[in-house]
Amino acid sequence: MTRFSFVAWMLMAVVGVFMLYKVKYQVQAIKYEIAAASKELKSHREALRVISAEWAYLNRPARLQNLAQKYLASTDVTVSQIAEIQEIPFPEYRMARAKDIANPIKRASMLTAGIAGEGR
Amino acid sequence: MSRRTRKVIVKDSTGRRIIEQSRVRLLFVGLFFILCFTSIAVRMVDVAVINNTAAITILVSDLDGSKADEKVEIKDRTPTANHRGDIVDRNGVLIATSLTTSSIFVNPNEVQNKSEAAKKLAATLRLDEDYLLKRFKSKKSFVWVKRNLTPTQEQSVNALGIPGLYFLPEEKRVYPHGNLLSHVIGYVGVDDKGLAGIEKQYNQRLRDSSVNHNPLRLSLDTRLQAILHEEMQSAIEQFSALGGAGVIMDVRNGEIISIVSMPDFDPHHPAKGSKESRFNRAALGNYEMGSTFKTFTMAAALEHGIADMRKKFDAINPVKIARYTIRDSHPEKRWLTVPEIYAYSSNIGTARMIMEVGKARQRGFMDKLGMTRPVDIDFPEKGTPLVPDPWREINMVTISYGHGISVTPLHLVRGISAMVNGGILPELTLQAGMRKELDERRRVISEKTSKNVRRLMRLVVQHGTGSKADVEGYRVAGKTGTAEKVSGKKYDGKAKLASFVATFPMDDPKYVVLVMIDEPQGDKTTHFFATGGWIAAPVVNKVIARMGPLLNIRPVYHAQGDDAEKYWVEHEPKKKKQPKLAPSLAQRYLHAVSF
Repeated sequence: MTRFSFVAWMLMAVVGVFMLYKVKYQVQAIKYEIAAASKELKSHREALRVISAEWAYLNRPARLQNLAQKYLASTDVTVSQIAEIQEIPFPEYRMARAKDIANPIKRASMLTAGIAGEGR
Repeated sequence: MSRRTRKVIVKDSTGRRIIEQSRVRLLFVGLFFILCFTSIAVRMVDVAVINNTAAITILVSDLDGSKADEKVEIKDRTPTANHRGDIVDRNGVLIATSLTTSSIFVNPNEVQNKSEAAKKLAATLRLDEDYLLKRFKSKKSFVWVKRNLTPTQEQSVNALGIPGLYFLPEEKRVYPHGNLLSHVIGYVGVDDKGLAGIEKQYNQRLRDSSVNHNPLRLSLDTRLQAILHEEMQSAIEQFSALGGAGVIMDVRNGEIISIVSMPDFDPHHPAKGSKESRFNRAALGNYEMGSTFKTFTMAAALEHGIADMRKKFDAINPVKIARYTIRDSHPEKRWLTVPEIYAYSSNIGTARMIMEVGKARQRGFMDKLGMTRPVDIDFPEKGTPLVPDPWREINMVTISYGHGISVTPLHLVRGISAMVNGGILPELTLQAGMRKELDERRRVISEKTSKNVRRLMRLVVQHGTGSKADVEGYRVAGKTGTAEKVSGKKYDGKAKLASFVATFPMDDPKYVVLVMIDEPQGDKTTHFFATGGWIAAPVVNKVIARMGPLLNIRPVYHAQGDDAEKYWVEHEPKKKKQPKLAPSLAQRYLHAVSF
């Protein structure tokens, strides 16, 4: 009985020590991994900072304006281009109520009616 | 033998007790140790076997080929370098950031061939060889060579392989927008300490690693800043002006949307800019504002019941006070209604009004408007107004039309906001999200007076000196100002400060826009006038026409609140009526103060 318990205890101790050893190495490996990952993260963060600074630099309003003038046909939005949907004269506008015009489905049907009307 | 022993034990009860006692003690100690070791063993098993998910995962994955264990969480404990915090505008556009660069220093004791090292390094970094040699001969063990190298430079220095040269990672403050926001953002010194502007004001906040991962969000809008900057730039160039200042402000909460001071400088190299260009005209510069100040006189007179929108004042003859004479440069020579006095910018009429208001009430009103002390704003460069002391009769009269008191453009903008926003002086801020509701305790005029002041300002644009500022649909209301600049001890008739302060829409004001151009020279397009109405008003017009659509402000063409017209009494002209924008009208505005 004594011998059996002794052997059992020894066995448990050996297993315990082995497991502990394994854990220690796992922890070490993970630590290296974390260190590598944080180093990578740091360099990515640095890169991100550089890129966002560059992005802000390339998006300077004055530069965008120059590019737009050079390559796009569009110009500044003028005051007269801002209006509410009710203010835009759709076909059959006078007959329609503002509420109906604000409703996209009804507006669409009005539009088609208008086109159909033209065809007649 | 055994008997004897027992006998002894029995007999010697003291000895037996001692043995008994030690046995019990031993038992306790033993039990204690067993407890300790058992708990350690249990914990060991717990850590190594039961909670060892990684080992189990490996075991399991070996068995079924699956991997990954969601239970293992690795906290991000990245030791981030403590960057100085970013600054962004109200829409999150990056305004200032910090990038890591390498700086190079030398330990002169380790450099062997000093002259050759200096020669090589000077060629690589384009530095002065003698300067480097001097540094290399220093007795110290740490001498800066060059800070903030580009990666290419770093590489080429490395390639030289000079012993004793070392790199140190350092921060470099970068302003992607360059000059655009230089005065308001300010700049940092070589050690990353804020030395001016927002960088100085929020230095602590930007350096504090517990908060600076969140960028500092300002109330500024880069787009509007660009618009104001561009329009002012072109006006300054066209009229060969010395510079200018411009401010756009939200009248509802005191947020500064845009603030421009010209000329400006490159915040990366502030020392390269002239002293003139580093001077913040918008926040630090004190100016006699001229006729824009008449707004406050009108408001005081209306508020105290001295005038109403229909009352007339005598503007026939110049006013004589002490040994001074107050004139209108192109006098109407008749009785003018309050809207006419304001729209034609009559000094005589304004002087007559303030004489009825009185010195004490004017002084009190200016105090309430904060015109006698620096503005309360989260910004380090703040100008202190130059206020006359004592406040004499003549000061009262000149202040009524904006001379004899010097305030910063921020004072003026804030004061005008209070005039148009319903009567409450807003608290200025440059930080977004600090949205302060208007505080009733800071009320300076009643709602009714504010409404009347808006009507007066609207009439300036509809009939008076500010007609060039009107943007159809936006009901622009404003006031021109043409102050004469002091040179030496006298007013210089030629050096003028042309300004225009506007608000829109007049029936529900949202923004105040101020443009001030310093010493413009009129040209053919302005019939050689250098007044606020000819120089600054068109700039405000362009700014409003561009900013309105950007901010989704809907134009309204026949707004109900736009009712100023009913207070305009058409005067029967003696001669043929001039067209609206003819020079005579502008001439009328020409400001003349005779001292």
